[in-house]
Amino acid sequence: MTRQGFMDRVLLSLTRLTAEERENVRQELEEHIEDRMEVMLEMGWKPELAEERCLEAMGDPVEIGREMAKQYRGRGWLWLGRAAVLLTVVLCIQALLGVGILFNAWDSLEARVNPQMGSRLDWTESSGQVDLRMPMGNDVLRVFRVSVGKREERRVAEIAMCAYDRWPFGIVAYDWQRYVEINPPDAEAPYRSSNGRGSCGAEYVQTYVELEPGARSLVMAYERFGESQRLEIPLPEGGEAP
Amino acid sequence: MKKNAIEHTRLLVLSLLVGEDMYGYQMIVELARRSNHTFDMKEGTLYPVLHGLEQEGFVEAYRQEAPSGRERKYYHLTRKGQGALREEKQAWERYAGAVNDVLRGGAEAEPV
Repeated sequence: MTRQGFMDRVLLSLTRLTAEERENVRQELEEHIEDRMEVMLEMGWKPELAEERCLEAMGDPVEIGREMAKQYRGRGWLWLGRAAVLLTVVLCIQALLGVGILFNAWDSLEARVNPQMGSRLDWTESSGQVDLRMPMGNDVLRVFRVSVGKREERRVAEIAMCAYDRWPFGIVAYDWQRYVEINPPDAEAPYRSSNGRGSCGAEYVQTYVELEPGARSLVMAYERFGESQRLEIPLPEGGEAP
Repeated sequence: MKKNAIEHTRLLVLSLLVGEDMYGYQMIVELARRSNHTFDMKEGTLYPVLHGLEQEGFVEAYRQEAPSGRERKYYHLTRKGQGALREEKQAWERYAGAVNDVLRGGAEAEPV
């Protein structure tokens, strides 16, 4: 048997190993034979005979290959284990995101059924629950309470509203407020506050509009992507200056 | 019996690497020297044992120039490998002790 034939037989069983690992095994065995042959040649052996004796001393190449393959056998499970860990991490992240989606869906549902938000008026003259809805792209804007009262020494209307996606599991557009105006618009910027309520599922906002004496209603307008919507918001009865 | 041979080779290889990193051929020469040529193993079977120990983390391999000037794959005994060596050594000593006890007992029972 030649050295090449010996190597080929060893490598026969090593199909599970990567090309690099197979090359490492081959190189290591070659080096062993090289070291041993060098000693034998120094002792005066003929090269062919020396190689033959070396290969004999190595043992059965098929057996060596089989034993070597066994050492790498557990690796299928190792990779499977790593894949399982990775999958678990991904699933955990998915589950956490899923929890977020559930909260969003809950907020979205609450906005449809029973929107709540505390008034921030310093003094309330009149207030009334309403249910006025205006489509706004994929979202819906719902006005659920209109109050008149004093805030920071000014007579204002407080419009409490919430926006939610038409689809219960959808999320509301983050910048919808930029496309909504309420008239009569304040000469200065209208007072707005988001009060820190809401999630991606529903967003609550209270807007304050300074009232002209004798005002009976406000008009809310939405304009975006060529879509125009208009919603009239009547002010609650008794909304006159005291 | 074959399994035992491999187990013992593991023990011998681990103990050879105490205090000195070695490459395969060097281990065979050293093993023959220390055992006065008692362990006449097929040299190629050393490598599956070494690779198995490497997979288990008992030894680490690295390439370095040997005294011959050629690069060789050296094996180094890890901390984990030192622990495994202690355990395998104790197991072997128990086994050898038991064999000796049996042999002594047998010899005493023989009529003089």
